Amino acid sequence: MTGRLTPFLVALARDPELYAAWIRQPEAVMVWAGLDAEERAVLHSRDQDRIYQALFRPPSAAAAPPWSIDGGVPSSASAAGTAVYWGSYAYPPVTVTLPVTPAPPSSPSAPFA
Amino acid sequence: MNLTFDERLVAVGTGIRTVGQLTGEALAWIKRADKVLYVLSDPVSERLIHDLNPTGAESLQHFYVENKVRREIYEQMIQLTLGYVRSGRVVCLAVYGHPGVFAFPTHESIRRARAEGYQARMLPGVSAEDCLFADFNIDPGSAGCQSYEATDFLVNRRITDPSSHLILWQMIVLGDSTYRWQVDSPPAMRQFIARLTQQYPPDHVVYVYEASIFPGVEARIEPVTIAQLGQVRYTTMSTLYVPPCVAPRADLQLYQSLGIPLG
Ligand SMILES: C[S@@+](CC[C@H](N)C(=O)[O-])C[C@H]1O[C@@H](n2cnc3c(N)ncnc32)[C@H](O)[C@@H]1O
Repeated sequence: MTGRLTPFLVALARDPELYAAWIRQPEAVMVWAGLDAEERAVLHSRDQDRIYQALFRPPSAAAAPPWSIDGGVPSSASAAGTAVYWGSYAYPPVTVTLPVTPAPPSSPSAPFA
Repeated sequence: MNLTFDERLVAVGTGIRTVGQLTGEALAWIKRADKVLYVLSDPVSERLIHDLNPTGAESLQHFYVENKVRREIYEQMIQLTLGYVRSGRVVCLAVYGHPGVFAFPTHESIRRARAEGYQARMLPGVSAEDCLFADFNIDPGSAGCQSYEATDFLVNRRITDPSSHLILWQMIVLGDSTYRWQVDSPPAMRQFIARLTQQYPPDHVVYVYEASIFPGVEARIEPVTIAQLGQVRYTTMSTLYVPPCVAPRADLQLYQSLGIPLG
C-alpha cells in the first residue's frame, strides 16, 4: 500500500476529466496515479467493505502522491409565509418563515411553491 | 449595484457518493468558507474537505456517541455552528447526502441564523432517495411516493397509500431515540411488521437499500418479505423501499368526464 488510494479518490471527486479518463481506462489511470497492485485490486474488487477498510490501512512505505490538482483559487476571495412543521418522532415541531416571491395580484398566493 | 455574496452560513451536501456527486457550488463554498463544519460518512469525503480547506475544516463527528439522545447531539452541533457565525466567520456546514433531507441540524442552524439577522442559505445535494430512484429504476411520478422516517411512520400512524412507492428512512433507529452504529434487530421491529401488514400482505417483497458510497461499487439491495424484516442486518445507511402492492382505485366517472384515456 502506497497511501495513494484516498488521494486518488479525492482527485476523482474534484476532477471530472480524471474521472472520465478512469472510466475509460481504469487500470492505466490507476497505474499512472501511482497506486500499487494491492490498491488497484481493492478498487477492481468493487467491494465496498474492502475499499472502506483499505482507506484506513497505513501506507507500507511513506510516499506522497505524485500529483497535485489544487487549482489554488484564493480563499479571500416582501411578503413572507409562515409554516409549522409538526415534526416527527426524531424532529421537534418548528415554525418556519418562508421567503416567497410576491404573487401577481390576480393569482392565489403559493407560500410553499 | 455590485454583486456580493453576503452569506454567513451555507449548508451543503457532499452527496452519498462524494466521488461524482459533490456539486460545483458545494465545492466552491467549502473552499471559500472560514470554517467548514462537517458530518460525513467516509474517509474520502473527510480528506477532500481538509484538502479543500486545510485551515477551516472541523469535524462534528465527536458529538455522535453511542446511546446518546439524538436531539442532544443536534443541539450541540447547532450551538457550535451559530457560535462561529456570531464570531464573524463565514461558515459552511457540510453533510453527506442532501443537506436538507433528514438533516435537522442544518435546517435549524439556518433558521436560527436568519432569526439573528444573518444571511444563510442551503444548497441542494444528492440524497439517498435520489440514489434509490436511480438504482431501482423507478420514477416517483409513476405511482406517487411517500417518504417517512421509519419511527415517525410507526408511532404517528401516518396514513399511507399501498398503491404508491413507500420509502422508510433510519431503519437502524426504529423505535429508538438514541444514536446507534449497527443493530441486529431494531427495538420496534415487531410493531413495525404489524403496522405494515395492516396494508400489505406479509409475503410482499420489500428491499433493504444501501446506495454505494464509492465509485464502481454496486448498491446493497436486499429483498426480503415483510414477515422476515426482523431477520436482516441494518446499518446507519439502511433505507427500506416498499413497492406498491395494489393498483390505484381509479375514479372511472372522472376519467370519462375529463376525457382521460384509460390505461
Ligand atoms: C440522518 S439521515 C441523512 C440523509 C441524508 N442527508 C440524505 O440526503 O440522504 C440518515 C438516513 O439516510 C439514509 N441513508 C444514508 N446513507 C444511505 C445510503 N448510502 N443508502 C441508502 N440510504 C442511506 C438511511 O435511511 C439513514 O438512516
